[in-house]
Amino acid sequence: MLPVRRPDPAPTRLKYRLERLWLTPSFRRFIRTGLPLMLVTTAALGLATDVDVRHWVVAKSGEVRAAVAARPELTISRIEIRGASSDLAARVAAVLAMELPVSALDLDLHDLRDQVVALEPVLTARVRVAEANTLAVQVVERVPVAIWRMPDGLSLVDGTGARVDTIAARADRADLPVMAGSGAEDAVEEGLAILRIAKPLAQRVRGLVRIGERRWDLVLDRDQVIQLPEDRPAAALMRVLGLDDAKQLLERDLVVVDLRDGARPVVRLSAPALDEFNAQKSASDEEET
Amino acid sequence: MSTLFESQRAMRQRREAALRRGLVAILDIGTTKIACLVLQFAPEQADAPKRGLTHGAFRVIGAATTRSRGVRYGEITAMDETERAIRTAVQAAQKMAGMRVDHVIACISGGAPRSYGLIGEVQVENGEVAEADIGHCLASCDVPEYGDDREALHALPVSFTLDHRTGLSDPRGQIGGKLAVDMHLLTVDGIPVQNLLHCIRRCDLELAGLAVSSYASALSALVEDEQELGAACVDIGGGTAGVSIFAKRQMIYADAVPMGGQHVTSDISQGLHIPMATAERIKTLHGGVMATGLDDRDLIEIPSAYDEFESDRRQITRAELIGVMRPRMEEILEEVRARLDASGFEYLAGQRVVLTGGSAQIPGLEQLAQRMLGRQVRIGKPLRVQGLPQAATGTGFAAAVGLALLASHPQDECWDFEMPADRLGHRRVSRALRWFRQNW
Repeated sequence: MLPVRRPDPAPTRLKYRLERLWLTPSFRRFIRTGLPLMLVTTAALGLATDVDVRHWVVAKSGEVRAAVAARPELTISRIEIRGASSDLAARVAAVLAMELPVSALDLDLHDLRDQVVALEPVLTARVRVAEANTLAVQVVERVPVAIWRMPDGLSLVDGTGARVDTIAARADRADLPVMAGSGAEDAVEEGLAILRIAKPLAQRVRGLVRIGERRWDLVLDRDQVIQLPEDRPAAALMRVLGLDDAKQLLERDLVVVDLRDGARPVVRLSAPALDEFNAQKSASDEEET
Repeated sequence: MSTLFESQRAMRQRREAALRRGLVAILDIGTTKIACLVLQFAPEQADAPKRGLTHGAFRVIGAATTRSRGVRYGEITAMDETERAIRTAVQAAQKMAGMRVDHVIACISGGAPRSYGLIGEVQVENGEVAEADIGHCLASCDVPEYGDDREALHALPVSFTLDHRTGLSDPRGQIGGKLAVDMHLLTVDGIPVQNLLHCIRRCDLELAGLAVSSYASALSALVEDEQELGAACVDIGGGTAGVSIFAKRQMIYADAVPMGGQHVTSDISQGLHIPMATAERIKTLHGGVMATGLDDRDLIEIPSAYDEFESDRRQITRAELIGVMRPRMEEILEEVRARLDASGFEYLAGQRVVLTGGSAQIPGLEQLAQRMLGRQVRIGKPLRVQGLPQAATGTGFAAAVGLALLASHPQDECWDFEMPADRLGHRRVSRALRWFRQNW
């Protein structure tokens, strides 16, 4: 067998150089990643800066969105409010008032929820698109625990001190205690605790007054005031109750029982009682002399 | 010597740069084939201990061989042809490696290498031998007039003598007064080297090292004991047969016989009247140098150059083929023996001869060489290195593998030491004086 004559296998100089260029790592990286990246970026920028393209994109996307929003699966035809008393439900419905039916895509549920929560009696609310074309609103009401007397009227507050509602007269909610004074709303919990301790005096308690945004005065009928200290007011009140049990302290003609000094309670007599006290005291002095 | 000093030093720096990059190509430009290996070096770890001959430090990641063209007797005769062949080999090796190589280390097999033994002697300056003392010592060697058209390719300090202690391989840090050095200077013809440089430059490659091929093949074909005790490596290639002698791990002599396997092929072609390509094929398939009785009956079919195979069908016996090949191989080995005798090889402790190179594959050459050279002979395959393909593990790749070893673990040469500045100045002045004398 004769050896076959083959063509020259040598690469041309150009081919050789191109091959070497292609085997250069940096050049290869550039061609494989840099160049496509540059092309795509340039194309994207070119499209994005073209006014006609942008108009077209906006129009087209609006069209598509409208088509989707018009689907019957997404229409909302009624609103269901749960967990609210009837007058609150009416207020919520008023807040959510919209033209039905509406597409679920056009609703901003967060915004609706914020609107509902912005109502004072609402503690929390959940707004969701439920099945059967319903917008379900689950409301948790605030529970009023006290009446807060303000210069311009009476309002109901819950445990956190948030306003729940306003009432026209104290008698509307005779079951709730009254608190007054600025800063009272921040210490509602503490006030309620004091009132729980003062349960034996429940018949006589008129209310609590916050003094100087730091301490409480327990106001009883006959204009008696128990001035409680800033710290540990409950213990001080229990001391007064003890005194009352033993010596019928509060039955007496006192105006103020001052417990602000922890060492000793101070009482102030009413003016006629003071006169009588002085008279008795001078009489006894004369007897002694 | 100073321009050469500078150019060799620049080559060293390029090699360092290539090793730092971790990629270097080996180019063995032979008469019959051009082999290109792409070596990848492991990144150098600062804390790793230095190993001796670091075979594991590199890995062959690309290898390619192509038929050589335009090379005769190891010298480039047709630049374009050779350039194309180099491009073929380099491109294929690059493709296999998947990396571009910029630095090549090449070897030259032709150029009539000639060895000189130089002796230098200086006084050690500070009692302890420092690097500068070695530089002084190497510079003090008086270089013979080897001719303006020749270039020094290697200048290897073979052994140092400190006072009366001889055979030191590294006298640095030792205490002594008088430092002497035996240096082995190897020169080759300038023209083939220039051609080779130009050819490699035309392939957009940078030369990072140049070695004589017989030196390189001895590095890979001789085992360490042979290098230590003394052995000769005969690299019988296509166009030249290189001879190098090692003792104490240093090359002490190198020479080349401008004859090789291609002469055998041309003998077959002429003697049997067949084309060169056919002759080469018959030589590689059926060749041999030791005839036996069976060879008379072993018929070899010679393919016809024409298509009339019915009428023009020839057969020769294997004995005939051996009869053509043997005289030429004997001639080559005779020449080699003459070179070995001239070198004083008989005074070395070890007398072993290692045959390598493509033509060492001829069956029976071992016995023939034993008879001709009168010494222990073995066929030396190159050292196995990591990643070398099976096809490139034959004796023909000894020079390429040896170059790879040389690249990974270079021998200290004269130009690795700082040449003292006063020497350089002195040379320059004497050269100027000589120029004046010659021209006025």
